[in-house]
Amino acid sequence: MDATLKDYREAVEFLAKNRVDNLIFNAGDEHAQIIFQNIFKNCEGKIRLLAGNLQNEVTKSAAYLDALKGFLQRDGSKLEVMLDNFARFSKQGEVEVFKVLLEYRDKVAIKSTDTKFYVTKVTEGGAEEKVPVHFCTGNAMYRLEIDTRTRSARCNFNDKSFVEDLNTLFDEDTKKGREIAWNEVLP
Amino acid sequence: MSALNVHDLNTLLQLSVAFNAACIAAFKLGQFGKIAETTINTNSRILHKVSAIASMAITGLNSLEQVKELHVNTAIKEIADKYNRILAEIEKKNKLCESVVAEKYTPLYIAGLSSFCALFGTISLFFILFSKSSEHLAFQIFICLSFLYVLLFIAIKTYLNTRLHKRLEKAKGHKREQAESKSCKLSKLLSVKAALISCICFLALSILVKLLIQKWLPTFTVAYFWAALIEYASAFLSFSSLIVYVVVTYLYNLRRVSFINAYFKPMEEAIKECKEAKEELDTYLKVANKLSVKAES
Repeated sequence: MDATLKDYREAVEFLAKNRVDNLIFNAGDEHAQIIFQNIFKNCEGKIRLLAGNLQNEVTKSAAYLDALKGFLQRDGSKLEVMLDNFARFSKQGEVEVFKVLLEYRDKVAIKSTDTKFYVTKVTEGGAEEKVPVHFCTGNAMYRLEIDTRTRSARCNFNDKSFVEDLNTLFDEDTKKGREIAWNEVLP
Repeated sequence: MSALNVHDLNTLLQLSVAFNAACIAAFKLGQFGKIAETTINTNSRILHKVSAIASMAITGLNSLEQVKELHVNTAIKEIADKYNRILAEIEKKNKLCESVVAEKYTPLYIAGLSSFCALFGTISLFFILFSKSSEHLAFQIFICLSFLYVLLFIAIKTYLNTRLHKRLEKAKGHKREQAESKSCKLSKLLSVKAALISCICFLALSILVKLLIQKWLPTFTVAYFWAALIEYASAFLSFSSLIVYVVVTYLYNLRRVSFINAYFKPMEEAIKECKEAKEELDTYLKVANKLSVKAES
């Protein structure tokens, strides 16, 4: 691990452990893994995860899977997953994360949705454009991915009101979502 | 030496004053070297903090590119300009710090001068102990006393400084800040105090030497003249040294104040401004995030 990434990890661990209300920026797979690891490690109760189809470099990494297992093993933990790009899911692709989720099926709910969560992009010309986002929330922590290609995101480990807003959006949509059966994601 | 004339006497006094002044100047400049070193250590700590803040600023600037796409307005540009200005300031201060590090080695020359003065004093002492010629006695005692005077001054100043630092160490929190701000003024006062104590001790020592010469060398008629000369010279020397000392101290303090003004104050302001800008950016981005996320079926 290079020194910059090590520093980043230490900084994120400190912010997460101490629930510091500080906005941090995040881009790239390795940085994303660090943020997810810390959310899984420090969250108690429910985690809401809005993702594409959970088939990417981050979700197949050992660090991500270990942290996810660690969270699900804890008493009272619960994970709600909503996939907004399940149409592109393939059983031939990476399914390790679903195998982990299956181990803790009592604590996990996976749904697919047609809803698109977005932020409004205002270009320099003044035109508005909708940019799809993904996010993960737990307690007062969140990671909001504003560019799913570069994994550009912003995170905070103690922003209660913003997390509540995201949770409200998520919960409202969950009611409309279609539950995904295990045989749809595992061979 | 027995045919001592006014010209010899003047030369003798001038030599002694020059010697004393050189010793004091060497001591003061050496002390500046020590302070410069301490300052550099403090600077390193400050620079460490500044670089941490700067890295936050850079992260902020990188993220601005993303934010620009989301919300373009003048506020972001203003913050970016502020960051750039602060980073430029920090870079400038870094260069200044490098020049101070180079300055750190100047006292090496001063240490050479101090060594020369110490050697000079030791040789004088050697002559006093082993010279059989009573004609040179007074001159040698005179030189030796000058040397002792400098040593005495350094010892007293060191003692007073140590006491001051112990007090500073004991003080905590707000009291410590107050004590440190006063220490610059106190340092000057202590130097004057040390110089005065040294003068008094030196005069007392001169009188003692005079009395000893009177007691043990009664047959040596010229001794009375020498004793008077020593007394006069010592007073003159102490007085002139004090003037030299005050001038050196003044110049030294000017240098130190200009150093502090040139480095610490702008640096502290830059750090403060940088922190404020970071907070401003955080708040802005937080608001921007909160307003932007929506859902659409």
